[in-house]
Amino acid sequence: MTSETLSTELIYRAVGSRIREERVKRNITQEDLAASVGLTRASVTNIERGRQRMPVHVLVALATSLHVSPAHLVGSFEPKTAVEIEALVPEALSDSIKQWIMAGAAKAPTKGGHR
Amino acid sequence: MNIRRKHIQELAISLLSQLRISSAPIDVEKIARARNAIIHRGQVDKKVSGYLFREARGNTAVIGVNNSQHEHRQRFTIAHELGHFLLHTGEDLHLDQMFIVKNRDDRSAEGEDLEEVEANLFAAELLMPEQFLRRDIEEMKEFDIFEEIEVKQLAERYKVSQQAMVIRLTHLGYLSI
Repeated sequence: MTSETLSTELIYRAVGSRIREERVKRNITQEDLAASVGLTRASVTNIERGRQRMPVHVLVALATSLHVSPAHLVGSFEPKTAVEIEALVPEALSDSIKQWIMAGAAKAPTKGGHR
Repeated sequence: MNIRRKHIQELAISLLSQLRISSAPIDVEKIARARNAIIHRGQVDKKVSGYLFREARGNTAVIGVNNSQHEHRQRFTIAHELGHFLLHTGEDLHLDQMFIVKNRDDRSAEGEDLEEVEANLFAAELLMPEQFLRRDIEEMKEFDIFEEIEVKQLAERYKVSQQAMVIRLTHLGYLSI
């Protein structure tokens, strides 16, 4: 497995999991989502698992059905802001653990070189 | 979904060969860096052993390691978080806590457990590659696994806990429960 194929696989799995997340959030079944964009249920299952690589127009159709922007499903390359990072950190943790996470997150590389 | 044993083993082997790592102990931090994951240590209470924070849409990461834990445990934590980074998607922040009641509605508890199993398996494959272990055991004359001292020696050489080594040797068929 080359690093290129690994990265590509992760992109589709990430997009797929966002589609699933939005679908579940809206209580839509795979069947209903499939019907709304003219796909089979199996295709939606495979897209959600990252196993089927959809063309851009299908991505746009899925986004429209889910009432989100295609960009949301693709995800952002922009580094997260401190506020966004803070929102990810569970409230219940001790202050020292929260600080440790915030300090680490601030050091994240913003560009992936050769993945 | 089942545990992707073969996929995980192949991934670990390819990472080792890309960096030309051919003997223990495995430089796990070097492997993480090569994958755009940096290590951030912190001395915090032992409730959290580590975390994975993803940036750049999952292309880079920070692996948090609690260094109030033993060095060998820290190595396992790094390998475990690297496993999540390379094998799983979905969470921008993943925490590995010692005692945890997970209660998230968007991912089933079963799915999360499966990801933990996969991350542990990846860590074992990366830190204690089967090929390396078989060779080292062969070199240890009359390897007697019932001798605790030999498990201890192996654990030292691989810089892993004795517990991790015992589990690995059991999976590889050198030890029986």
